[in-house]
Amino acid sequence: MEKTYSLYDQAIEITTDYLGPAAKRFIDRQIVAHLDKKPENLTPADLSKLTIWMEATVSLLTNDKDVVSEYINKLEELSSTSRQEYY
Amino acid sequence: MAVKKSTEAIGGSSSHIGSEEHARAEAMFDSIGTGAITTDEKGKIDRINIHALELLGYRREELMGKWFPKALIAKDENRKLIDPINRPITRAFVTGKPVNALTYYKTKSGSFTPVNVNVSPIILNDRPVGAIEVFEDVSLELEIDRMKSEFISIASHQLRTPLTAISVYAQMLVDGYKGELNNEQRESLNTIIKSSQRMNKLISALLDISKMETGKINIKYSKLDLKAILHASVKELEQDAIRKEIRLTFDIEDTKFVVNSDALLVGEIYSNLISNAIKYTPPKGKIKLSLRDIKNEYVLRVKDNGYGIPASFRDRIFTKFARADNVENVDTDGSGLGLYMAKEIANVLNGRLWFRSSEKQKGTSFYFALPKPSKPA
Repeated sequence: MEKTYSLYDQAIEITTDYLGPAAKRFIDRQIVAHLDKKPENLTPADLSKLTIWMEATVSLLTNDKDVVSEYINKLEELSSTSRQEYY
Repeated sequence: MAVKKSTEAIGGSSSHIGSEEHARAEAMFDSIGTGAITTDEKGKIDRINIHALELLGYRREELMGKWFPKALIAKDENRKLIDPINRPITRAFVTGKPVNALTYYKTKSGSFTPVNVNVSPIILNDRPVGAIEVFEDVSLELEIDRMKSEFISIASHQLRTPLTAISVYAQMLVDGYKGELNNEQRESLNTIIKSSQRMNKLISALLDISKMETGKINIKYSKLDLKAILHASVKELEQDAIRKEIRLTFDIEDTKFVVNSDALLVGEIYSNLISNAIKYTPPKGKIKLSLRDIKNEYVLRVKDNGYGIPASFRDRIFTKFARADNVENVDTDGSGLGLYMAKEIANVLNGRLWFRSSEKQKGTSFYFALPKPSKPA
Protein backbone atom coordinates (compact mmCIF):
# COMPACT_ATOMS: atom_id res chain seq x y z
CA MET A 1 0.00 0.00 0.00
CA GLU A 2 2.81 2.35 0.92
CA LYS A 3 4.49 1.87 -2.44
CA THR A 4 1.35 2.64 -4.48
CA TYR A 5 0.71 5.78 -2.43
CA SER A 6 4.31 6.73 -2.96
CA LEU A 7 3.89 6.32 -6.72
CA TYR A 8 0.93 8.71 -6.72
CA ASP A 9 2.92 11.12 -4.58
CA GLN A 10 5.89 10.95 -6.91
CA ALA A 11 3.71 11.48 -9.98
CA ILE A 12 2.39 14.66 -8.37
CA GLU A 13 5.90 15.75 -7.47
CA ILE A 14 7.07 15.35 -11.08
CA THR A 15 3.97 17.11 -12.40
CA THR A 16 4.36 20.00 -9.96
CA ASP A 17 7.63 20.91 -11.69
CA TYR A 18 5.64 21.52 -14.86
CA LEU A 19 2.16 22.58 -13.75
CA GLY A 20 2.77 24.09 -10.32
CA PRO A 21 -0.10 23.98 -7.84
CA ALA A 22 -2.48 22.63 -10.52
CA ALA A 23 -0.57 19.33 -10.52
CA LYS A 24 -2.59 17.43 -7.91
CA ARG A 25 -5.93 18.34 -9.45
CA PHE A 26 -4.58 17.52 -12.92
CA ILE A 27 -3.44 14.05 -11.86
CA ASP A 28 -6.50 13.34 -9.69
CA ARG A 29 -8.99 14.24 -12.42
CA GLN A 30 -7.27 12.04 -14.99
CA ILE A 31 -7.01 9.06 -12.65
CA VAL A 32 -10.70 9.30 -11.79
CA ALA A 33 -11.83 9.97 -15.39
CA HIS A 34 -9.68 7.47 -17.27
CA LEU A 35 -9.16 4.75 -14.67
CA ASP A 36 -12.28 5.17 -12.52
CA LYS A 37 -10.39 4.62 -9.29
CA LYS A 38 -9.21 6.50 -6.24
CA PRO A 39 -6.03 8.50 -6.98
CA GLU A 40 -4.18 6.97 -3.97
CA ASN A 41 -4.64 3.51 -5.52
CA LEU A 42 -2.57 4.32 -8.60
CA THR A 43 -0.42 1.38 -9.75
CA PRO A 44 2.55 1.38 -12.15
CA ALA A 45 0.38 -0.22 -14.87
CA ASP A 46 -2.21 2.52 -14.37
CA LEU A 47 0.42 5.21 -14.66
CA SER A 48 1.68 3.71 -17.88
CA LYS A 49 -1.85 3.80 -19.33
CA LEU A 50 -2.42 7.30 -18.04
CA THR A 51 0.78 8.64 -19.56
CA ILE A 52 -0.73 8.29 -23.03
CA TRP A 53 -3.55 10.67 -22.05
CA MET A 54 -1.26 12.99 -20.14
CA GLU A 55 0.95 13.44 -23.19
CA ALA A 56 -2.05 14.53 -25.26
CA THR A 57 -3.24 16.88 -22.51
CA VAL A 58 0.12 18.45 -21.80
CA SER A 59 0.60 18.96 -25.54
CA LEU A 60 -2.29 21.41 -25.30
CA LEU A 61 -0.68 23.29 -22.44
CA THR A 62 2.69 23.89 -24.07
CA ASN A 63 3.90 23.88 -27.63
CA ASP A 64 7.42 23.04 -26.49
CA LYS A 65 7.94 19.45 -27.64
CA ASP A 66 11.10 19.06 -25.55
CA VAL A 67 9.27 19.97 -22.35
CA VAL A 68 6.43 17.55 -23.18
CA SER A 69 8.78 14.66 -23.90
CA GLU A 70 10.92 15.42 -20.83
CA TYR A 71 7.79 15.29 -18.64
CA ILE A 72 6.46 12.13 -20.28
CA ASN A 73 9.86 10.42 -20.08
CA LYS A 74 10.01 11.12 -16.35
CA LEU A 75 6.54 9.61 -15.86
CA GLU A 76 7.40 6.57 -17.99
CA GLU A 77 10.62 6.10 -16.05
CA LEU A 78 8.70 6.34 -12.78
CA SER A 79 6.18 3.81 -14.04
CA SER A 80 8.80 1.26 -15.14
CA THR A 81 11.00 1.68 -12.04
CA SER A 82 8.01 1.31 -9.76
CA ARG A 83 6.79 -1.67 -11.76
CA GLN A 84 10.04 -3.51 -11.00
CA GLU A 85 9.70 -2.67 -7.32
CA TYR A 86 6.00 -3.38 -7.26
CA TYR A 87 6.12 -6.94 -8.59
CA MET B 1 11.33 -6.42 -62.31
CA ALA B 2 7.88 -7.85 -62.69
CA VAL B 3 7.32 -7.54 -58.94
CA LYS B 4 8.42 -3.94 -59.02
CA LYS B 5 6.07 -3.16 -61.85
CA SER B 6 3.29 -4.90 -60.15
CA THR B 7 4.01 -2.90 -56.98
CA GLU B 8 4.11 0.31 -58.96
CA ALA B 9 0.79 -0.55 -60.52
CA ILE B 10 -0.72 -1.31 -57.16
CA GLY B 11 0.93 1.76 -55.69
CA GLY B 12 -0.46 3.95 -58.43
CA SER B 13 -3.90 2.48 -58.07
CA SER B 14 -3.97 2.65 -54.27
CA SER B 15 -2.66 6.21 -54.35
CA HIS B 16 -5.50 7.11 -56.73
CA ILE B 17 -8.02 5.45 -54.41
CA GLY B 18 -6.31 7.17 -51.47
CA SER B 19 -6.63 10.63 -52.97
CA GLU B 20 -10.25 9.97 -53.93
CA GLU B 21 -10.99 8.87 -50.37
CA HIS B 22 -9.16 11.88 -49.04
CA ALA B 23 -11.17 14.21 -51.30
CA ARG B 24 -14.37 12.47 -50.24
CA ALA B 25 -13.46 12.85 -46.56
CA GLU B 26 -12.66 16.55 -47.12
CA ALA B 27 -16.00 17.04 -48.91
CA MET B 28 -17.84 15.31 -46.07
CA PHE B 29 -16.04 17.45 -43.52
CA ASP B 30 -16.94 20.62 -45.43
CA SER B 31 -20.56 19.55 -45.70
CA ILE B 32 -21.00 19.49 -41.90
CA GLY B 33 -23.36 22.40 -41.29
CA THR B 34 -21.22 23.92 -38.51
CA GLY B 35 -17.58 24.83 -38.04
CA ALA B 36 -15.39 21.76 -37.51
CA ILE B 37 -11.71 21.39 -36.69
CA THR B 38 -9.63 18.33 -35.91
CA THR B 39 -6.23 18.22 -34.27
CA ASP B 40 -3.59 15.54 -33.99
CA GLU B 41 -2.42 14.18 -30.63
CA LYS B 42 0.04 17.08 -30.28
CA GLY B 43 -2.71 19.68 -30.60
CA LYS B 44 -1.80 20.66 -34.19
CA ILE B 45 -4.72 21.51 -36.46
CA ASP B 46 -4.85 18.90 -39.21
CA ARG B 47 -8.26 19.56 -40.69
CA ILE B 48 -10.58 22.55 -40.77
CA ASN B 49 -13.79 22.93 -42.70
CA ILE B 50 -15.13 25.78 -44.77
CA HIS B 51 -17.68 26.89 -42.13
CA ALA B 52 -14.98 27.24 -39.48
CA LEU B 53 -12.88 29.31 -41.89
CA GLU B 54 -15.82 31.56 -42.75
CA LEU B 55 -16.69 32.04 -39.08
CA LEU B 56 -13.13 32.80 -38.02
CA GLY B 57 -12.22 34.78 -41.14
CA TYR B 58 -9.02 32.85 -41.89
CA ARG B 59 -7.74 31.08 -45.00
CA ARG B 60 -7.10 27.37 -44.63
CA GLU B 61 -3.32 27.69 -44.92
CA GLU B 62 -3.27 30.24 -42.09
CA LEU B 63 -4.51 27.65 -39.60
CA MET B 64 -3.44 24.25 -40.92
CA GLY B 65 -0.58 22.75 -38.90
CA LYS B 66 -0.81 25.47 -36.27
CA TRP B 67 -0.92 24.66 -32.57
CA PHE B 68 -4.62 24.85 -31.66
CA PRO B 69 -4.42 26.81 -28.36
CA LYS B 70 -2.35 29.54 -30.02
CA ALA B 71 -4.22 29.60 -33.33
CA LEU B 72 -7.62 30.00 -31.69
CA ILE B 73 -7.62 32.47 -28.80
CA ALA B 74 -10.61 31.78 -26.56
CA LYS B 75 -12.49 33.69 -23.88
CA ASP B 76 -15.09 32.34 -21.51
CA GLU B 77 -18.68 33.48 -20.83
CA ASN B 78 -17.36 36.34 -18.70
CA ARG B 79 -15.12 37.43 -21.56
CA LYS B 80 -11.96 36.44 -19.71
CA LEU B 81 -9.15 34.61 -21.49
CA ILE B 82 -9.44 30.90 -20.72
CA ASP B 83 -6.40 29.30 -19.09
CA PRO B 84 -5.01 26.54 -21.36
CA ILE B 85 -5.89 23.93 -18.70
CA ASN B 86 -9.53 25.02 -18.66
CA ARG B 87 -10.08 25.17 -22.40
CA PRO B 88 -12.79 22.79 -23.63
CA ILE B 89 -10.32 20.81 -25.77
CA THR B 90 -7.98 20.27 -22.78
CA ARG B 91 -10.90 19.30 -20.53
CA ALA B 92 -11.95 16.76 -23.17
CA PHE B 93 -8.53 15.09 -22.89
CA VAL B 94 -8.46 15.33 -19.10
CA THR B 95 -11.85 13.62 -18.80
CA GLY B 96 -11.76 11.53 -21.98
CA LYS B 97 -15.32 12.70 -22.63
CA PRO B 98 -17.09 15.25 -24.86
CA VAL B 99 -17.16 18.78 -23.46
CA ASN B 100 -19.72 21.42 -24.33
CA ALA B 101 -19.16 25.11 -23.60
CA LEU B 102 -20.03 28.62 -24.62
CA THR B 103 -16.78 30.16 -25.81
CA TYR B 104 -15.77 33.38 -27.53
CA TYR B 105 -13.27 32.81 -30.36
CA LYS B 106 -11.05 35.56 -31.66
CA THR B 107 -11.53 36.06 -35.38
CA LYS B 108 -8.89 37.30 -37.80
CA SER B 109 -10.37 40.81 -37.61
CA GLY B 110 -9.68 40.84 -33.84
CA SER B 111 -13.29 40.68 -32.68
CA PHE B 112 -14.60 37.83 -30.49
CA THR B 113 -17.51 35.70 -31.73
CA PRO B 114 -19.63 33.62 -29.33
CA VAL B 115 -19.71 29.97 -30.32
CA ASN B 116 -21.23 26.88 -28.80
CA VAL B 117 -18.32 24.43 -28.75
CA ASN B 118 -18.57 20.66 -28.59
CA VAL B 119 -15.25 18.86 -28.48
CA SER B 120 -14.37 15.19 -28.10
CA PRO B 121 -11.12 13.27 -28.03
CA ILE B 122 -10.60 10.92 -30.98
CA ILE B 123 -9.68 7.52 -29.59
CA LEU B 124 -8.10 4.76 -31.66
CA ASN B 125 -7.05 1.46 -30.08
CA ASP B 126 -7.47 2.97 -26.60
CA ARG B 127 -5.13 5.85 -27.43
CA PRO B 128 -6.06 9.49 -27.93
CA VAL B 129 -4.96 10.34 -31.46
CA GLY B 130 -6.45 13.81 -31.63
CA ALA B 131 -9.60 15.79 -31.05
CA ILE B 132 -12.58 16.89 -33.07
CA GLU B 133 -14.29 20.15 -32.30
CA VAL B 134 -17.53 21.36 -33.83
CA PHE B 135 -18.81 24.83 -33.12
CA GLU B 136 -21.54 27.17 -34.25
CA ASP B 137 -22.07 30.90 -34.08
CA VAL B 138 -24.59 31.74 -31.35
CA SER B 139 -24.45 35.56 -31.69
CA LEU B 140 -28.08 35.71 -32.75
CA GLU B 141 -29.32 33.50 -29.89
CA LEU B 142 -27.40 35.59 -27.32
CA GLU B 143 -28.74 38.81 -28.82
CA ILE B 144 -32.31 37.48 -28.64
CA ASP B 145 -31.75 36.51 -24.99
CA ARG B 146 -30.39 39.95 -24.21
CA MET B 147 -33.34 41.66 -25.93
CA LYS B 148 -35.79 39.41 -24.10
CA SER B 149 -34.26 40.30 -20.74
CA GLU B 150 -34.27 43.98 -21.64
CA PHE B 151 -37.93 43.75 -22.64
CA ILE B 152 -38.81 42.08 -19.31
CA SER B 153 -36.92 44.78 -17.46
CA ILE B 154 -38.70 47.63 -19.25
CA ALA B 155 -42.10 45.95 -19.08
CA SER B 156 -41.68 45.25 -15.35
CA HIS B 157 -40.80 48.89 -14.62
CA GLN B 158 -43.83 50.06 -16.61
CA LEU B 159 -46.12 47.61 -14.79
CA ARG B 160 -44.94 48.65 -11.37
CA THR B 161 -46.04 52.31 -11.67
CA PRO B 162 -49.80 51.69 -12.18
CA LEU B 163 -49.66 48.86 -9.69
CA THR B 164 -48.40 51.19 -6.97
CA ALA B 165 -51.36 53.51 -7.63
CA ILE B 166 -53.81 50.57 -7.44
CA SER B 167 -52.34 49.43 -4.08
CA VAL B 168 -52.22 52.91 -2.53
CA TYR B 169 -55.77 53.87 -3.52
CA ALA B 170 -57.18 50.50 -2.47
CA GLN B 171 -55.47 50.88 0.91
CA MET B 172 -56.89 54.40 1.27
CA LEU B 173 -60.39 53.06 0.62
CA VAL B 174 -59.92 50.28 3.20
CA ASP B 175 -58.68 52.83 5.71
CA GLY B 176 -61.93 54.79 5.27
CA TYR B 177 -60.53 57.92 3.56
CA LYS B 178 -63.45 57.95 1.11
CA GLY B 179 -66.16 57.00 3.56
CA GLU B 180 -67.35 53.98 5.49
CA LEU B 181 -67.33 50.56 3.79
CA ASN B 182 -69.51 47.54 4.32
CA ASN B 183 -67.89 44.14 4.90
CA GLU B 184 -68.33 42.96 1.34
CA GLN B 185 -66.64 46.11 -0.03
CA ARG B 186 -63.80 45.77 2.49
CA GLU B 187 -63.27 42.14 1.55
CA SER B 188 -63.15 42.98 -2.16
CA LEU B 189 -60.60 45.71 -1.56
CA ASN B 190 -58.46 43.43 0.60
CA THR B 191 -58.43 40.95 -2.28
CA ILE B 192 -57.26 43.74 -4.61
CA ILE B 193 -54.47 44.69 -2.17
CA LYS B 194 -53.37 41.09 -1.73
CA SER B 195 -53.31 40.50 -5.47
CA SER B 196 -51.37 43.73 -6.02
CA GLN B 197 -48.80 42.60 -3.47
CA ARG B 198 -48.47 39.26 -5.23
CA MET B 199 -48.02 40.98 -8.57
CA ASN B 200 -45.47 43.33 -7.04
CA LYS B 201 -43.46 40.36 -5.78
CA LEU B 202 -43.61 38.73 -9.20
CA ILE B 203 -42.42 41.94 -10.88
CA SER B 204 -39.54 42.21 -8.41
CA ALA B 205 -38.55 38.63 -9.18
CA LEU B 206 -38.68 39.28 -12.92
CA LEU B 207 -36.57 42.41 -12.51
CA ASP B 208 -34.00 40.52 -10.43
CA ILE B 209 -33.84 37.76 -13.03
CA SER B 210 -33.47 40.28 -15.79
CA LYS B 211 -30.58 41.92 -13.91
CA MET B 212 -28.88 38.58 -13.44
CA GLU B 213 -29.33 37.50 -17.04
CA THR B 214 -27.99 40.77 -18.41
CA GLY B 215 -25.05 40.67 -15.99
CA LYS B 216 -26.22 43.84 -14.22
CA ILE B 217 -26.41 42.30 -10.78
CA ASN B 218 -24.31 44.23 -8.33
CA ILE B 219 -22.37 42.00 -5.94
CA LYS B 220 -21.14 43.67 -2.77
CA TYR B 221 -18.54 41.44 -1.16
CA SER B 222 -17.92 41.74 2.56
CA LYS B 223 -17.00 39.55 5.51
CA LEU B 224 -20.19 37.68 6.49
CA ASP B 225 -21.25 35.57 9.42
CA LEU B 226 -23.48 32.87 7.93
CA LYS B 227 -25.00 32.07 11.35
CA ALA B 228 -26.27 35.65 11.63
CA ILE B 229 -27.72 35.54 8.12
CA LEU B 230 -29.43 32.25 8.88
CA HIS B 231 -30.97 33.61 12.08
CA ALA B 232 -32.17 36.76 10.30
CA SER B 233 -33.82 34.65 7.58
CA VAL B 234 -35.49 32.45 10.19
CA LYS B 235 -36.75 35.48 12.12
CA GLU B 236 -38.27 36.89 8.95
CA LEU B 237 -40.20 33.68 8.27
CA GLU B 238 -40.86 32.13 11.69
CA GLN B 239 -44.41 33.54 11.88
CA ASP B 240 -45.33 31.54 8.77
CA ALA B 241 -43.99 28.41 10.49
CA ILE B 242 -45.83 29.19 13.74
CA ARG B 243 -49.11 29.67 11.82
CA LYS B 244 -48.73 26.13 10.40
CA GLU B 245 -47.46 24.76 13.73
CA ILE B 246 -44.30 23.59 12.01
CA ARG B 247 -41.40 22.78 14.34
CA LEU B 248 -38.10 24.41 13.36
CA THR B 249 -34.97 22.81 14.78
CA PHE B 250 -31.31 23.74 14.38
CA ASP B 251 -28.12 21.75 14.11
CA ILE B 252 -25.31 24.27 13.87
CA GLU B 253 -21.71 23.35 14.53
CA ASP B 254 -19.92 25.32 17.19
CA THR B 255 -17.51 26.99 14.79
CA LYS B 256 -17.21 30.28 12.91
CA PHE B 257 -18.90 30.35 9.54
CA VAL B 258 -17.28 33.42 8.04
CA VAL B 259 -17.14 33.94 4.26
CA ASN B 260 -16.48 36.74 1.80
CA SER B 261 -19.76 37.13 -0.05
CA ASP B 262 -22.82 39.33 -0.58
CA ALA B 263 -25.08 39.45 2.49
CA LEU B 264 -28.22 40.36 0.56
CA LEU B 265 -27.80 37.61 -2.02
CA VAL B 266 -26.87 34.92 0.51
CA GLY B 267 -29.88 35.99 2.60
CA GLU B 268 -32.07 35.75 -0.51
CA ILE B 269 -31.09 32.09 -1.00
CA TYR B 270 -31.43 31.20 2.70
CA SER B 271 -34.89 32.84 2.87
CA ASN B 272 -35.98 31.19 -0.35
CA LEU B 273 -35.05 27.69 0.84
CA ILE B 274 -36.62 28.14 4.28
CA SER B 275 -39.75 29.74 2.85
CA ASN B 276 -40.15 26.85 0.38
CA ALA B 277 -39.71 24.31 3.17
CA ILE B 278 -42.46 26.03 5.20
CA LYS B 279 -44.78 26.28 2.19
CA TYR B 280 -44.37 22.68 1.12
CA THR B 281 -44.50 21.02 4.54
CA PRO B 282 -47.95 20.09 5.85
CA PRO B 283 -49.20 21.64 9.15
CA LYS B 284 -47.46 20.24 12.26
CA GLY B 285 -44.53 19.12 10.15
CA LYS B 286 -40.81 19.43 10.91
CA ILE B 287 -38.00 21.45 9.38
CA LYS B 288 -34.39 21.01 10.40
CA LEU B 289 -31.74 23.61 9.55
CA SER B 290 -28.09 22.52 9.65
CA LEU B 291 -24.97 24.53 9.01
CA ARG B 292 -21.82 22.48 8.55
CA ASP B 293 -18.16 22.86 7.79
CA ILE B 294 -17.45 20.29 5.06
CA LYS B 295 -14.00 20.24 3.43
CA ASN B 296 -13.59 23.63 1.77
CA GLU B 297 -17.20 24.74 1.96
CA TYR B 298 -19.82 25.84 4.45
CA VAL B 299 -23.03 23.96 3.73
CA LEU B 300 -26.56 24.91 4.75
CA ARG B 301 -29.06 22.04 4.72
CA VAL B 302 -32.79 22.74 4.89
CA LYS B 303 -34.51 19.44 5.55
CA ASP B 304 -38.29 19.10 5.68
CA ASN B 305 -40.73 16.23 5.96
CA GLY B 306 -43.05 17.74 3.39
CA TYR B 307 -44.60 16.60 0.15
CA GLY B 308 -41.30 15.85 -1.61
CA ILE B 309 -40.51 16.50 -5.24
CA PRO B 310 -41.91 14.12 -7.84
CA ALA B 311 -39.19 12.21 -9.70
CA SER B 312 -40.59 13.40 -13.04
CA PHE B 313 -40.07 17.03 -11.99
CA ARG B 314 -36.60 16.86 -10.46
CA ASP B 315 -34.62 17.75 -13.57
CA ARG B 316 -36.74 20.89 -14.11
CA ILE B 317 -36.77 22.20 -10.58
CA PHE B 318 -34.23 24.95 -11.19
CA THR B 319 -35.80 26.16 -14.45
CA LYS B 320 -37.94 29.28 -14.85
CA PHE B 321 -41.66 29.05 -13.99
CA ALA B 322 -41.27 25.42 -12.92
CA ARG B 323 -43.93 24.18 -10.50
CA ALA B 324 -44.45 20.57 -9.46
CA ASP B 325 -47.93 19.07 -9.96
CA ASN B 326 -48.13 17.86 -6.36
CA VAL B 327 -47.88 21.37 -4.86
CA GLU B 328 -49.85 23.54 -7.29
CA ASN B 329 -52.90 23.24 -5.04
CA VAL B 330 -50.89 23.65 -1.84
CA ASP B 331 -49.37 27.01 -2.76
CA THR B 332 -51.36 28.94 -5.32
CA ASP B 333 -49.19 32.05 -4.90
CA GLY B 334 -45.94 30.53 -6.12
CA SER B 335 -44.45 31.97 -9.30
CA GLY B 336 -42.01 29.16 -10.00
CA LEU B 337 -39.15 31.68 -10.07
CA GLY B 338 -37.69 31.32 -6.57
CA LEU B 339 -35.47 28.30 -7.09
CA TYR B 340 -34.41 29.44 -10.54
CA MET B 341 -33.25 32.71 -8.98
CA ALA B 342 -31.61 30.95 -6.05
CA LYS B 343 -29.63 28.72 -8.43
CA GLU B 344 -28.57 31.70 -10.55
CA ILE B 345 -27.46 33.62 -7.44
CA ALA B 346 -25.59 30.57 -6.14
CA ASN B 347 -23.67 30.41 -9.44
CA VAL B 348 -22.89 34.12 -9.32
CA LEU B 349 -21.47 33.66 -5.80
CA ASN B 350 -19.41 30.60 -6.85
CA GLY B 351 -21.63 28.49 -4.59
CA ARG B 352 -23.49 25.26 -5.20
CA LEU B 353 -27.19 24.51 -4.78
CA TRP B 354 -28.65 21.02 -4.98
CA PHE B 355 -31.29 18.81 -3.38
CA ARG B 356 -32.32 15.30 -2.42
CA SER B 357 -35.94 14.35 -2.31
CA SER B 358 -38.36 11.54 -1.71
CA GLU B 359 -42.10 11.52 -2.25
CA LYS B 360 -42.66 8.84 0.35
CA GLN B 361 -43.28 11.06 3.38
CA LYS B 362 -39.57 11.73 3.74
CA GLY B 363 -39.63 15.22 2.31
CA THR B 364 -36.80 17.13 0.74
CA SER B 365 -33.35 18.36 1.70
CA PHE B 366 -31.92 21.40 -0.07
CA TYR B 367 -28.20 22.15 0.24
CA PHE B 368 -26.46 25.43 -0.38
CA ALA B 369 -22.67 25.44 -0.20
CA LEU B 370 -20.46 28.51 -0.19
CA PRO B 371 -16.69 28.25 -0.61
CA LYS B 372 -14.57 29.09 2.39
CA PRO B 373 -12.26 32.04 1.84
CA SER B 374 -8.81 30.99 0.59
CA LYS B 375 -7.29 33.00 3.44
CA PRO B 376 -9.16 33.19 6.74
CA ALA B 377 -11.85 35.87 6.28
